[in-house]
Amino acid sequence: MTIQINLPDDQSMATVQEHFADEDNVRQTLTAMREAEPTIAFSRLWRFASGEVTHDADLLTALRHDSKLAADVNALLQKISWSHLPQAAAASTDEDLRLRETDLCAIRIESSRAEPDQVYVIIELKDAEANAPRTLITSAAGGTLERLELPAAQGGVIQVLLQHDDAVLIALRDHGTEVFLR
Amino acid sequence: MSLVRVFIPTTEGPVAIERITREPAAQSAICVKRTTRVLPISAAYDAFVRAPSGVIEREFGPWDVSGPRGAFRLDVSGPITDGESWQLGVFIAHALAAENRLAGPDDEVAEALWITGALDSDLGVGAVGHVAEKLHASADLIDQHIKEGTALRFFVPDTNLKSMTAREDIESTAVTSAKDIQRHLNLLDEADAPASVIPAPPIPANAAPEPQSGNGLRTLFTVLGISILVAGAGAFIYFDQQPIKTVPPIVVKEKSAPEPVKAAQVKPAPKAAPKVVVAKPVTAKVKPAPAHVPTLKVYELRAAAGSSCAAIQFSDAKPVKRALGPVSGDQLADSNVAGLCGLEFEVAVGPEDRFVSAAVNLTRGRFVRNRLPETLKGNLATKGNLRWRAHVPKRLKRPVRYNISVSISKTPISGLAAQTQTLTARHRILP
Repeated sequence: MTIQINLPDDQSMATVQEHFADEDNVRQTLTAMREAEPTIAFSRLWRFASGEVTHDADLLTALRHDSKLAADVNALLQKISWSHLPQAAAASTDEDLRLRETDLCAIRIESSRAEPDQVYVIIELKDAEANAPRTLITSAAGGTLERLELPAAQGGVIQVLLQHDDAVLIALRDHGTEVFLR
Repeated sequence: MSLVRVFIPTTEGPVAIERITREPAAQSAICVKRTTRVLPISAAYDAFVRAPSGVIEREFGPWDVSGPRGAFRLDVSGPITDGESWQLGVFIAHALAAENRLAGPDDEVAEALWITGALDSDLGVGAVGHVAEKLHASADLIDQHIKEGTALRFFVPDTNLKSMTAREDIESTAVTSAKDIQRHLNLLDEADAPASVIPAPPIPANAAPEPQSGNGLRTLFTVLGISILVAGAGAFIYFDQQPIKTVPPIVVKEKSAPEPVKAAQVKPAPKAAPKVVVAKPVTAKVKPAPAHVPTLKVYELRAAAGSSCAAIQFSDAKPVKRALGPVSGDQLADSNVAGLCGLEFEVAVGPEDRFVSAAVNLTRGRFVRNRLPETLKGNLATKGNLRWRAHVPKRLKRPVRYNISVSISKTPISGLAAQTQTLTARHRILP
C-alpha cells in the first residue's frame, strides 16, 4: 500500500506555521503564569496591617516591587491607625527630619549625649489620657515597611532608644516616609 | 578627688553603676553596658527621679538642659530585674555623680560600696528581700576586692543586718537614712551633718595595728564634734581619748577645719585596703521606729462556688480575692477575663493621716465601673487601708491595659506642687 501525502503550498504552509506559533505562545504564557508569584490577597494585607501577623517576608518583598500594592497597604494602614503622619513637608530635604507632628502626637528624635551613635525616639501624645499606640510602622517611598513594637506610655510619653543605623530610625528621618501609629 | 564605685547587689550578682548622664530625653532610663537595651525598671527609675514625687530632682536638681525636657541615663554593668532595693544605691550614685565622684568601669577607685535598700520620700531606708542571696551572689566580688586590696563597704537597711552574718570576714553598716552614707562620703553640707555623726573612713582590715604608746595609750583624739583639717591628700589626725578599736580614724573635709586642739600624729590617708572593709554604724542618734512604707495592691475578684459575678457586683456577695504579684518592675501578672468579675485596688496609707490621690489610666479598653472614693482625690486626709473596685466586661475582644498611679503626701495634693510619694502598677486583662 502506498501512502501519498500532498504537501501544502507556500500559502498553506505559512498558515500552519502561524497556528503552531500561536499554540506555543499560549503554552509559554500559561507556564509563566503558573510559575509567577502569587498575588497578595486582601486578607493577607489586612492581617499584616492590623498586627495579627507581625512578619511576612513575602509581603514585604512584594511591597518593594509593586507600588500599587504598597499604596494599598498605606491606604489600609491609614484607615486603621491611631495616627497617620504623612510625608513631611520638605523645607530642606538635605537635613534629617527631627520632628513630626499631628494633632494627636509629636515624634521627636534626639541624639544621646552619652552615646553619640544612639538616638531617642520620643512620641509625645497630645492627650496623655488617650489610649496609647503600641506599634510604629514606617512606609518609605520605595515601598519598604518597617515595624517597631512600642513600650507602654508613661504620662503620655513613649520613648525608645535605637542605634543610629536602625532601619526604623533611618526611615523616620527620611522626609519621604509615611509613619503610622497603631 | 576620690572616686567611688557603687554596686547594687542582685540575686544574680552585683551590678555596678557605671555612669549617669543628663540626656535630652523625655524619660529617665537604665541601660545595660552602654547599649540600647533599656531595663524594664526604667519606668520606676523615672518616677524615682522626676520631681515632685521623685527624690533625685528634688535633692540634686534642677538641671539646665537644652530642649524642652531632660532626663537621666543610668548605665549599669548588668540587669536589675525588679523590686526597690536598687533605690538607695542609685540615690548614692547620683549624689556621687553630682560631685563628679562616681567611678566609671575603668577608673581607679578609693573605695567601693555595696548598697541595698529601698528609699522613701523622706530619704528613710526601708527593708528589702533576698539580702542573704545577694551576699552569696557577691562572693566573687568580695574575693576580688580582698585579693586586690581595695576597700569594699557594705550598707544595708538596719532590719536586714542579720542577713549579712553569713560571711564572717565582712562587717556591714546598718543605715536608716540615705544621709548616713552621704555623711560617710562627705557629700553633705555642714548644715546637714550633725556634730554627733562621725564619718567613718575606709579601714584596711588587715593593716598593721596602730603602734601603742609607752604607757599603753593610743594616740589621742579630742573629739570636738566637728571635723579637723587634714592637709594635702587628706591625712588622719589621731587623738587618744578613745581606743582605735572602737573609734575609726576621722576623715575630714578641708572646708570644715577648725584648729586642732592637739595633733599628736599625722599620717597619710590609707590607700587601697588589702581586706574587705569593716565599717561601724555611723549614726549616734537614737534609731527611730521603722517608717511605714505605703503599698499598693491589686486583687482579682472572682465568684465563689455557687455565686456569680452579678451577685458580687450588685448584691455585695463576697468574692474570692487573689492578690496579683509583680512580674517585672511595676508590671503585674496578667489576668484572664474568663470568670473575672472585677478588680479591687488597695492602698495601705499607714497609721498617720496622709493625703492620697489616685488615678487609673486605661490605655486600652475600658472598665464597666471604676469610681474612685472621694478620699483618693488628694484633698482629704486619710489613713489605714483604702479600697475601691472596678468591674470588668464579661467578654473582651482585645486586652484591657491600664496603669495606676497613687500619690501620697503629708499636704493636700493639688497639681504637682506637693511633695509626694508615688506608687505605680501596670496590669493587663487578657481575652
